[in-house]
Amino acid sequence: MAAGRGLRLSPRYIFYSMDERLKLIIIGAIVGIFGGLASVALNRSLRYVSEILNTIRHVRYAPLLPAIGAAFSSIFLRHVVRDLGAHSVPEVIYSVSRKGGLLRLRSSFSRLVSGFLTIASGGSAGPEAPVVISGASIGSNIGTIFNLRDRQREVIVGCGAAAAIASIFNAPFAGIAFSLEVILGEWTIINLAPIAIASVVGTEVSRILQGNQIPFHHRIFHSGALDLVACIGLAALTSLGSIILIRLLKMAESHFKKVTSIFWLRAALGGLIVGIIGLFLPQVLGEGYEVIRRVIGEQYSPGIVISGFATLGKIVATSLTIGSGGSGGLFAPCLVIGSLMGLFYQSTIASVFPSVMWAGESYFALLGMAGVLSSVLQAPLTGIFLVVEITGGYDFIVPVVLVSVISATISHYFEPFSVYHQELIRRGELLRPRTDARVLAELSVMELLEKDCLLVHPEMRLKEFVSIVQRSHRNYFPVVDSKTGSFLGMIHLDDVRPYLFNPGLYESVIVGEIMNTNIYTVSPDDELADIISVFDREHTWSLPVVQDGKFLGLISKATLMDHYRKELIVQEEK
Amino acid sequence: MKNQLLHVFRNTPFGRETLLQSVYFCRMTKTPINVYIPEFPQFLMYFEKEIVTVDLDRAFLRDPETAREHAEQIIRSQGLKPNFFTPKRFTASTLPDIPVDFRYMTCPRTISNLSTKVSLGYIGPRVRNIIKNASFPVIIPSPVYKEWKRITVFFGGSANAINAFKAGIKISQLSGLPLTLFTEIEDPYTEESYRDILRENMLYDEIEKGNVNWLFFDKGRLMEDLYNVPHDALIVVGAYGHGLIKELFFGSTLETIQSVLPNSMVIVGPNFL
Amino acid sequence: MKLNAREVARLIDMPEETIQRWIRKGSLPAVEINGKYMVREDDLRKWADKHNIVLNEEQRDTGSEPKRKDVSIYKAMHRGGVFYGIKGDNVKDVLEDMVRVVTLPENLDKKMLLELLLEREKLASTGIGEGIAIPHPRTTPKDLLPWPIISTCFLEKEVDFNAIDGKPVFVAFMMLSPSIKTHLDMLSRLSFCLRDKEFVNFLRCIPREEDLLEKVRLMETRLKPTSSTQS
Repeated sequence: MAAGRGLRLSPRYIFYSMDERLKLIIIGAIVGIFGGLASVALNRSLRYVSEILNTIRHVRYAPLLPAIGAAFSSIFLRHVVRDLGAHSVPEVIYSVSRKGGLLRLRSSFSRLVSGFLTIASGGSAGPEAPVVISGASIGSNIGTIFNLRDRQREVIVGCGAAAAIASIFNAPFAGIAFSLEVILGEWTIINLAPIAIASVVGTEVSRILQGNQIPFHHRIFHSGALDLVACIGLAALTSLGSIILIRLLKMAESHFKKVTSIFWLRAALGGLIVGIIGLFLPQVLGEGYEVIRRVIGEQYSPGIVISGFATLGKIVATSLTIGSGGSGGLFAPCLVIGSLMGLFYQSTIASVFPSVMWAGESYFALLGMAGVLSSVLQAPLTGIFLVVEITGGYDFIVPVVLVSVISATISHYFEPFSVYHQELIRRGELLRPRTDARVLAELSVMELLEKDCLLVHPEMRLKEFVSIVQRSHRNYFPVVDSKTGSFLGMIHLDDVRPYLFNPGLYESVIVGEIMNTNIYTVSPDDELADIISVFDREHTWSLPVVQDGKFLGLISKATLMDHYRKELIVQEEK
Repeated sequence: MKNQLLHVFRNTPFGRETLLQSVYFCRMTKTPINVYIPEFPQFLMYFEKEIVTVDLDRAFLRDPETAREHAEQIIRSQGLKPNFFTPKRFTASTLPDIPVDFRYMTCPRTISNLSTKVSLGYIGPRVRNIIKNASFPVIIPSPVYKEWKRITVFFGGSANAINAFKAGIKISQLSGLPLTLFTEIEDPYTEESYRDILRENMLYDEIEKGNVNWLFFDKGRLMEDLYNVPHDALIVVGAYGHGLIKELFFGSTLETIQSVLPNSMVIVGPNFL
Repeated sequence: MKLNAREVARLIDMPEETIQRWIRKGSLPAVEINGKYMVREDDLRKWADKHNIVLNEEQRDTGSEPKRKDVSIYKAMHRGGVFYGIKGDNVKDVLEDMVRVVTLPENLDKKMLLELLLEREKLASTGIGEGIAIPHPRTTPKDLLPWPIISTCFLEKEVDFNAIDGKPVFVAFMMLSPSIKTHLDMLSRLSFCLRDKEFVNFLRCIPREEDLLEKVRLMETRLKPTSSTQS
């Protein structure tokens, strides 16, 4: 666009004057590269280390490994990078919903390292969360470098998250779905383009550097109508598994806190138990991509009992690893649990109905993955796209949609919110764009303050008050002390109207006698959501804003309404 | 928060001196004080373009039972109303967010390292980071409580110096204490060029009103000239002069001042509003 | 042309804090100049248009007349002028003659004005008693009239206006105001003067234009300023 004017314009100028959407797409692509690199880095090192560690798995002290890894990981987070905060992905969502997508630079590598320590040593957790945080944080900081505003930065944070997921699974659609469904919570054209680009770029980066993470050759499933019916059972089973996982995780978290207050010992303890479980069920250790690979490649058929135990073992190990303070996410464990569960389900129905020609184990394993992921994350689209992209075939789409949606719906009854959102919702911090809560959170009392009220003093005679009423265009008159200026009460015109027209009282009544001292006041730091509930409770239209005893102004429902509407209007993307 | 001063309380004798300084500042400028008694070893400040993570040294978390009592005692002894800040938001359950819309904030020279590091010439990296990002001036109190009776603003002509002058005028107006401008004339400039800068920024009125005493030094020996700053002056200074390397160090003037003068200082950063 | 946050705030009638937040959030397009945010006027117009936000144009050039409503009846009467010997035997004829003689802003259609006056008269008489009438249109032709106008018309002979007290009217103050509020302000000022018996008697003597205006000016100085002159 600026080409015609020649080279006099600096690239910097061209960039800054560029159309917002184009700018976001370009930055999205850059972030996609970094997100892809982060995921490749973590995956490569995980694979490399696990190959080494596999040679010593049978050694007697092997169960200690996860303990040592988890302890180091938590010490690293706490003392080396000083990155506190237990939950990882919620932090990104919090930042997007409250803080304009600002994330700390240190988060771009700290979780990668700590996640690596936890997972490589055998802790049962996924590398996706660390990579998502890393990608999001890289995105946030790149956005800041490019001088983006809050809303644009939020989109770029979403780009980072999308690129991370997309590049791990070689699944750009899953990346887009995850970012929009879980991180940003809204689908708009402005969001979609840069996120899609970041996803694709991230996928491409990892494809060039390492090939597919969960390789699966496209094949046609020979599935019949009965398989579809069986899917419903699997959906119920996966949602049950998800609920158990979520509840166990919460339990583990609260119980570990009681056991010891020394954080690294806590993590080590969790790791130790996982290590012991791993002695019997080595499948539960690590992020488990290898397990998924083997299960869906149908190279692994342990039978009903083992697969059942492995499923439970993985659920327990995951809860222990993450609940005790290990670093990592739930994404990969969900997939492992899902695949093992699918396996278990297939073996079960195959033995109960031996006469039926059931579809293969991989069919149910993949469906199980979609089911568990959808219900734990409460993000069915992410689950659907991920599995569809792994299999590379759209003929598989009917059962996947069926399982994902049913599973997510059933678990929604018991665990209505995504694991990532629960904590934020409890704190009231999950603010999706253009929702009531978001609008109220962005407005502040000081913006709504009406300062043009006429103040009256308690010693004023009614006559003087009447003359003030005449000049005012408001119905509320705050009463303040004439010397100290501190707030004493209010007069609402409705309450005193009868006296105003009675000249007989003009000299004998003073303001101090007719003011209402029993007035609810709000402070400028109060949340608007709380103020609204005060309005409703007090049945009033105006409330005085008081700070340190001083009257600052009035806040009224009418102004609030006006600003609320404007806020909604400007938040609309056009 | 808008008009308050934020003080992060360290429950140690050193912290007492710092709080006394804050309280004195509040008393003089009629600013309400808001004290944060940390419960967690870290807090975050979300500035417009950067999150500053403040790690607190362990002394901040010592004896939480007595901390509140001590702070209240100190504040009441100076006739102010104690106000305690409870974080409303948390990035993670042990990671509170502290708002950034205060009018002033008091930071000791170091907030993350043990107070044994406190010495002239050292300002910790977190404090620097806060100054760099904050829209409010940061007060760096002298290590021992000392009342100040006048205000000295260092004016080197930069945009930050202009902001420092504005902040100084504000403090002087609120406290009714006399204001002195201190200018070390730099080479190509003359006294008049500094006056012109104020005129351009519509601040010369203050000089003409006769409220401000302006001292010029042209020997180019800042170190020696600093001896002329009264012992009981509150220093107001902009964080950066004309320097280029803004990330690691403040302007050379500020670095010199903070390593030579033991007075309490108010540092005005580049994002001052 | 670039505007700072305060100017934008005035233009869209929102607090400055809100504007700054919108800019920070990226809801409102802005450029950063020396650490301060500025909004290009073109961008602002496009943005406002897109979001259906009405810009408060007149607020910008303060000091222009429409904002500070001039509610001095002295000035209004000065503008409107004083006329003597208005002919007519009934309300309609009187009004017709009045509209004919008075000087009005050029763009104001006299025929339309007369219709409006008659329409108002049909609703209720504007004769307020003591031989005085204040004919005025019910709705004011807003855009046509920058300032309020009072034209004082002494009638050739007293005419029955169906006034409240039944007394025939000898003087009519034709009042045109740009807004209801100005109208009420003017009316309350004028009626304050007319409540004064001495003033009414003074009017009965049919004073010269200069004397009348001087008298009104003096009386008006005794009046407290109304709320709208204050704000």
